[in-house]
Amino acid sequence: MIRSMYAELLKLRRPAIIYGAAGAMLGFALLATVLTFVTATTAAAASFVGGDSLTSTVGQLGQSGGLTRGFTIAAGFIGLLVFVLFTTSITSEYGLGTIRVLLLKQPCRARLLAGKLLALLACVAAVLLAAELLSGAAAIILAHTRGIPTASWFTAEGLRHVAGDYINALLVAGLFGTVGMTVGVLTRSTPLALGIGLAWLAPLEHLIQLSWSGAGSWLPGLVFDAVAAGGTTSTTYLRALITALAYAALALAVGTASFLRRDVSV
Amino acid sequence: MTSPIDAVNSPAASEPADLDQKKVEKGAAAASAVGLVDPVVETRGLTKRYGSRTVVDALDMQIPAGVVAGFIGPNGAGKTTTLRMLLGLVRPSAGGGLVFGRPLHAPAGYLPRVGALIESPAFYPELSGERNLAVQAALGGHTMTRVPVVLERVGLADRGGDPYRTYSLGMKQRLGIAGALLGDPTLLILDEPTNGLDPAGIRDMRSLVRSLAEDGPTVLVSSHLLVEVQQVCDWLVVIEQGRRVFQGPTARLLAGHDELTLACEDPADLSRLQALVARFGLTATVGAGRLHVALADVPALDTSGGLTRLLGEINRAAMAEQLTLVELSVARASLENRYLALIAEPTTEGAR
Repeated sequence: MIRSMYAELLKLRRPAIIYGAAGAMLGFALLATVLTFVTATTAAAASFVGGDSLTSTVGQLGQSGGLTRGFTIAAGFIGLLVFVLFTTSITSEYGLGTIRVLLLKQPCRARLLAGKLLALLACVAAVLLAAELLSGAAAIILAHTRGIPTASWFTAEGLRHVAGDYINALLVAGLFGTVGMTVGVLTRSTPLALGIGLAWLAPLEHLIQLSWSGAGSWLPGLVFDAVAAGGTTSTTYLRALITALAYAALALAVGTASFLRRDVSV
Repeated sequence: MTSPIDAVNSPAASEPADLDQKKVEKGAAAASAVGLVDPVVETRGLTKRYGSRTVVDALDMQIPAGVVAGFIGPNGAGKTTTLRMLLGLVRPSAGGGLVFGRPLHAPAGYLPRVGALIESPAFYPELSGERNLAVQAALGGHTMTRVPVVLERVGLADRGGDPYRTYSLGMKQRLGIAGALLGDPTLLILDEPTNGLDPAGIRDMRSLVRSLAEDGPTVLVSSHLLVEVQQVCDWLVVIEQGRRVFQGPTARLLAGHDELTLACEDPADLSRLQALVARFGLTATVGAGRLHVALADVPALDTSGGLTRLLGEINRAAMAEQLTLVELSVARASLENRYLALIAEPTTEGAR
């Protein structure tokens, strides 16, 4: 598995990955942070937790979680990018035919898949760390321009927020990535995988949510978003987390079983 | 044992005699192994079905150690599917087999000793040839020092740092073979390595395959180019519609199918010449102003130097009869003709 992981990391040093996927994640984090601080209103402060709204108040941003507010909002969008990255990392192996080369060098398919998943997660973890640092730096600058107090950001509580939001963002990335990889393994086609995956996770779930109040508690994309947001008005963080982990476990089991059993005819 | 005909007639006039002799010796050695003591590859009833379509049909195949084996058959005969099953990429629907004595359903037990290029080479276009091989080396647990070695081996040392997308088709094929060589394999499986190559590329690939075989590994190569197979391979497996129609030394498939052609200065003398060769027990047919004699089952040729002696005797007899020969030649049986005959009547050779 270590060999598979190392091989995957060698591949990830491609410009398309570094400048494309990583750049997009950093860009999302920065954009979300800028918009959060620029559009912050002066209404009365409330807790971030349990709120669906993407807009914040100046008062909220001055609280201990204000430093990573933009990063937290970006985490859900970054999740979609991670979905795309993990999906295409599998489907492109089928598209290029490199999957057969990989399987000749590493016939133990479970190890190959696990190494690939872990390498991608390690890569995403590094990019998320960079994204949080970038977002935090932007937040400090923007807070000064808007006169937002930052004293509580650098308390123990504030630093707990920084660590907790990073772990949560990584968890959300892992959830999206696991599902993305499974969709890639099942479809073996980039257009098909992205067509199905993004259509479901983005517009379809939100359309269903309009007519079904329970959608936010049960549909995977909305549940993952709820985990990223630390809970929503539809579901608590804990419930969303349990549901999301169940989805990820199911996806991992289905994806692994398919990868282990199906013929490679490309 | 191979007949003297095979020893006398080289597969191609351009081939060095020592190489040809080596091939015949390897074929003979392979022939003696038909009993088969520890073949490198052995399948029994190997079958692959996709729905109601049977792609590989109860295939029994054996590849002796140390040979260059040609795996030939028409498009859609099941060659690539068979190779994929040998490499653990595709699961057999029935039957099974052994590679290095390890079962096909546990490819991890034998794939570290196998190098393969299946269909077109597959690499990451943005990465250099060197980096692509490094990815494979890391995955296969090979030392990174093998990368420059195999690049040198396939003649890509100067271009290893260039992006794969800039490679010509011939370079891509060679990089594919370099990848297969990373683990210093004892079995090399090449699926259509000359596909899409121009004549110069085909010649280079033939030379490469030959030189690889001289390094010691058993080579199993599938190809449509029968001239190439005839020149390179000393063992053949021919399949048609997923079934084996021939297996054995190349020399055995070709034995007894050479043709003697005679022509005399005056075409009016052809009937006299026909009567003359009949005295040697040969049946000649007339065609295009020449006599054609199938050399199959001619007892006189079963001894060493039999063909050379026969040709000399015919020439002397013709001179004695005042017949001036302007052509006295032996055409080596072509694999193409034998292959087409096999495919046309698979059941006649199927028992071999």
